Amino acid sequence: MIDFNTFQNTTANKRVPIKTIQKPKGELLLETNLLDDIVYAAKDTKKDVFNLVNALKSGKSNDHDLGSMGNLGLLAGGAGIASYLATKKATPLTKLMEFVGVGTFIGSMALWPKIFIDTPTKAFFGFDPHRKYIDSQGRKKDFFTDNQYLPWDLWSSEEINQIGDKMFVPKNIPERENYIKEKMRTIALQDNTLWMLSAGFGVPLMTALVSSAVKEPLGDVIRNAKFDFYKNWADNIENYHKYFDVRKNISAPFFTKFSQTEITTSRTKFIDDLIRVFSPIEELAHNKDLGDREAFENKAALNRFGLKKPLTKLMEPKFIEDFAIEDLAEKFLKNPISFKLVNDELANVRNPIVKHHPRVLKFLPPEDIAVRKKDFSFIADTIEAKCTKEDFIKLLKKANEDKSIDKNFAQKIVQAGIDLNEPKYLIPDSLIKQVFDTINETSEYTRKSDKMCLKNVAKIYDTYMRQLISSTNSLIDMANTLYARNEDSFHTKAYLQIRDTFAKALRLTDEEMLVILKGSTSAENIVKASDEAKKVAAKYADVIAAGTDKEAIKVANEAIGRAQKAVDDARNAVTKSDDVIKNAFVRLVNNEELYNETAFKAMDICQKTNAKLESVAESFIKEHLLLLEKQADGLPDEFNVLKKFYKNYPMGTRSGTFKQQIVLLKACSDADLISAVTRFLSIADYEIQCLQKPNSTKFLRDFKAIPKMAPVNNEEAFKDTVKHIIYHGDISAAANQNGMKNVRQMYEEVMDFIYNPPTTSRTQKALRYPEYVIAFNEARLEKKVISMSKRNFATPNFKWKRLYIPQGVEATKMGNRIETMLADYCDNFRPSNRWTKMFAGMFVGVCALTVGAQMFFGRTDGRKREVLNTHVNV
Amino acid sequence: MTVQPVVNYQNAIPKNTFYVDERSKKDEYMKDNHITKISDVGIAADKFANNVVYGINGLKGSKNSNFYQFLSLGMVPYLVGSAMLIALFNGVNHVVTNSHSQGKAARTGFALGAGVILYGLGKCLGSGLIDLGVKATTGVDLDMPYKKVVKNLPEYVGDPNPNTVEYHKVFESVDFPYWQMIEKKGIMEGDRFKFYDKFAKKMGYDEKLNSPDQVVQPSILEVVTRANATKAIVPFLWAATGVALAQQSAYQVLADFVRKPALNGGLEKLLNAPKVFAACTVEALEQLWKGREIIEGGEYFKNRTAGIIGKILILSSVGSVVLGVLCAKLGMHKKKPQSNIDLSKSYKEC
Repeated sequence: MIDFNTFQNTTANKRVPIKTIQKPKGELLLETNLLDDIVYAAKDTKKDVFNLVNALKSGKSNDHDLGSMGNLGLLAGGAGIASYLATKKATPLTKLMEFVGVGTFIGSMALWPKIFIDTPTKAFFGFDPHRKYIDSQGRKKDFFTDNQYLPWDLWSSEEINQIGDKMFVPKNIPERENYIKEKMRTIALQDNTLWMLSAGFGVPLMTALVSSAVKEPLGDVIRNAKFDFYKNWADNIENYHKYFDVRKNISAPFFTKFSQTEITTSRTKFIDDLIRVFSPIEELAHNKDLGDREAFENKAALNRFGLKKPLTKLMEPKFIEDFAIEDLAEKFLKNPISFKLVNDELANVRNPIVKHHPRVLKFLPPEDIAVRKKDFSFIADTIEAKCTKEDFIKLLKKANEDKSIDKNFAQKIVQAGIDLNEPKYLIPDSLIKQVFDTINETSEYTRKSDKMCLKNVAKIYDTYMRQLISSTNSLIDMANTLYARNEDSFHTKAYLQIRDTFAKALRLTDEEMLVILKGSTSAENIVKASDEAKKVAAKYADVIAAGTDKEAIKVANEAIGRAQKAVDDARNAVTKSDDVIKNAFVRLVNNEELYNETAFKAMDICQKTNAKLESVAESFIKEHLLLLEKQADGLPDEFNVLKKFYKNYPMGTRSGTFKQQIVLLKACSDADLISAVTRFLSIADYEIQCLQKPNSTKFLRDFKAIPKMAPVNNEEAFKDTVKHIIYHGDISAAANQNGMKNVRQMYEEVMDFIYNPPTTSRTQKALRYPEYVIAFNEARLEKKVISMSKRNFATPNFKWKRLYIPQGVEATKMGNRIETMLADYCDNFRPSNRWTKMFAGMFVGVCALTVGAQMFFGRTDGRKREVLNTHVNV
Repeated sequence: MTVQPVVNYQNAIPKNTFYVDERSKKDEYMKDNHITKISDVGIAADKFANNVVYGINGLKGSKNSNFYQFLSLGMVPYLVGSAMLIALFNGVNHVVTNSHSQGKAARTGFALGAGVILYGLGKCLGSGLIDLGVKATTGVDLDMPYKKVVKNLPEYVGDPNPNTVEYHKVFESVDFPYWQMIEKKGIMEGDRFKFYDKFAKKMGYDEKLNSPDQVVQPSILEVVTRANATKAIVPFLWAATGVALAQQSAYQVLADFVRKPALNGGLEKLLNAPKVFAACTVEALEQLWKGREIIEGGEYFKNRTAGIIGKILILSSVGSVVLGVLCAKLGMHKKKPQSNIDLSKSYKEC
């Protein structure tokens, strides 16, 4: 065995020149700010892609590159997750929020150490623990990543001494630099550890908070964009007729040509061409500026409902045109050749040999022969009978009406005998005229295509306005209901927020904006005044209670009076600004005939029954409320507050709320009013029946599906589910809770109950007069009224695709029990507030802990210092 | 201390040959360092248990807190963050939702919470499948773990200074793979080059090579590099599929089990859990593939976009594993020798 040491020391040394260690060529990067980091991140991602491809291709890479490739995976996975989750969401905002969520999460992961570790450490100790450097291979690395490998020679001694100064290291200690380096190492290591320990808490909280903070402004942006888009559409409707004119001009030569030739192409294709020429939607669809899926949707709808049907009907050739019949009959009878020819043809048809006759075969597919034989029998009969001209005309007219006749073929037959090249026969001007008429604005086609265009306006209403109107209304109502007992400014603030959004979106004029602003400020005044009243009341509470200090009582009363006045003023201003918004809205939609035929009919009914129903509804409500008041005594203890509410605020106050509601509804639109009132009556009916017959299945027998869905002992659960359906249109939650099955059937029955209920004797009694009953039933049964209000209420037209229907604010409140109503208010408005408070608090705690911990970093205990000092001294 | 001359070993002697001096032998084949059979779960458990020590070390600023400890601590934000996310989705629903949306919030919360867990499972599964595939096709075990005993530096005078144990993987670094561990294992089993010979045979060298390490090592590194590059992407695709899977209503069946845990339903329920989970997963996969959304009462409708993206997720995650393994196998083709040395010819020791 050879001695390896000898080999190494002698042979190798002689053969291979000794190299000295070279200083690494790397360099320390400058400290970066956030913007630089973002740019770097983008560049690094690009680099990662390159490295990944390279590694897969060549199979050569290094640890650093392989490690940083993980970021690509994270991005790819994140994109996958967000795309999938977005498909489960209904609105553009919620879809977008999925991507925002993933983005924020990835961003938070990067930002957490930057903000809460690097920055404080820099402030406390003067250096960035995530300082980057470029190594001799050109790779970018964190300097302090590996605690046991720190290439200190990249730092200049000046820089280190400066950091030492910031750390208050005494200037004259021996080996100062080493001491500072050791301290930096310690601090950076502590920072890294802290990062690992704190990120788990901080990052999810940061993500949640940032996402929820971003959501609202993002929603505004989307809403505005959407509004602009639909505004565009509305503008286009104005230009619609221009489009039409242009089209007409373009198509003029087409029609000239058409009028001079026979229709040789297939009829369907011809009609399709016509549609293409005359559809303004087509024009819009091909306009790249407007390019949107909906344009195509409209086109499809137009083809289905609009142009195609009337055109097809129109283009369907008759046996012979009416105006030409007489002329034709004359010629036909006069011309023996044609007579003979026709006779021959018909003879052939009747004869089995016809199959071999080329001329007939040209027109007849073999399988049709039997049918066609029948078609022509009548002509043959006519000819054989040698009928008079009148008879012939009669027969031709009859043939025109008879749809079973193949008119095209008959035409050809006639053509064989008569020269029909004269335009006035079968290629009539009248046809062109009729086509133009069809596309004229008075014709059915125009109306229908208009409707299609207006559908877009309806979409504005559906997707944007309607929601806002209902939330505005609910907030007004809420303010009115709650101010007397709860001055919580939160509601007012929420109201203002929505109001502003709304005003912004409607593009109001300056004057109108002023009114709105006044409404907003006066609503703010409520907060101020009620705060003041609260303070005063708190200050003088004891004195007022004792009733001795008259001055104090006076002051308190004044403050409360001011608050009261502020509230009244605000209410007025708010009502005014409401009107402005409503007018603005009406201005927008009314012009465009949003309320089509259906709407007008509904309005008609409304006008008839409006006044009566309003008063009926009011009396109904009052009765219902009295019942509820009685019921309040029997409430369980959790409703103590509510009991007090009943006690302190008598009947009038509360029914006033509902009255207000009706007034608001009336202001909204008559059609809405009538449908809402109808709905209310139904709901109230249901509630009252529930109250009156708490443990009876009798009234529930109206629902045919009950035995299948709920056993008798589960009646309460069933009632609950029904209530959920009536008020919220949300089936699944209630059904889940109560273990209901086959909810679809139940839903349909409940809808039937609401929209088409049997009029109970009680209802009839309440309606008092037979004409009221008729009006009530009319309004209730009128499907078109229902369709008008479908956006706010659970309806029979429930789309099973959506599990959740936007709950109607009016439906939630009207006819609802008071306690439910109040609970709902609190339910709806507290959560987000609570959520923010809860998580913001937690987040601040985690941040404070993270930052605070860093103040204790870099301290060495005595024993350590000993080692350090010995090291330094050596 | 004298500066050691740097010798260019590359030219002087063949790399990693059998001839190593006694001192090096002692160092390199240190008695304590050797390949073990500990599983990934075992390593994770060890890291999990030790993270307390590592955390304290780090917060103290200990000299002995090395990169291994830092990486081990990387587990903490994953675990804490996952728990935090689950808590965010589920823990406060009763406080921050209203009574109408509570049921819905609970469902969504469960789906997202399950998503967090399936994200982790998906990630493990994705990288595990690559490991399996690579091992099956090339024989390279990417997971080959070895035990490393680290001698700690004294923190202060009189520090008892105990050794610590770390579990590394032979191929965790493509820059510095710990070949010696493989060779040591070979020596234990009687043939130093056993592993290399096996690999060389798979590469297509029919005869036994004289110094297989030189031929085989670059190829193995290619396999490892390609596999690792694939592993940068694939696990995340699996994780995304996991999250999407958790969104399926099929998993809601499990919600009941999770909310009213084991003891409530007795042992039977507990034993049934894996079965239920498997059934749910199969059902959820079908739903994900077809884009079905189930509504109560057996009604369902087709969400076309969801179906398309679901298909993309499933196909991409399965396909990427197959492609990744095939790509890794590309590394082990027989290469033309760059020198004129006949590799199969045996040399005499001089």
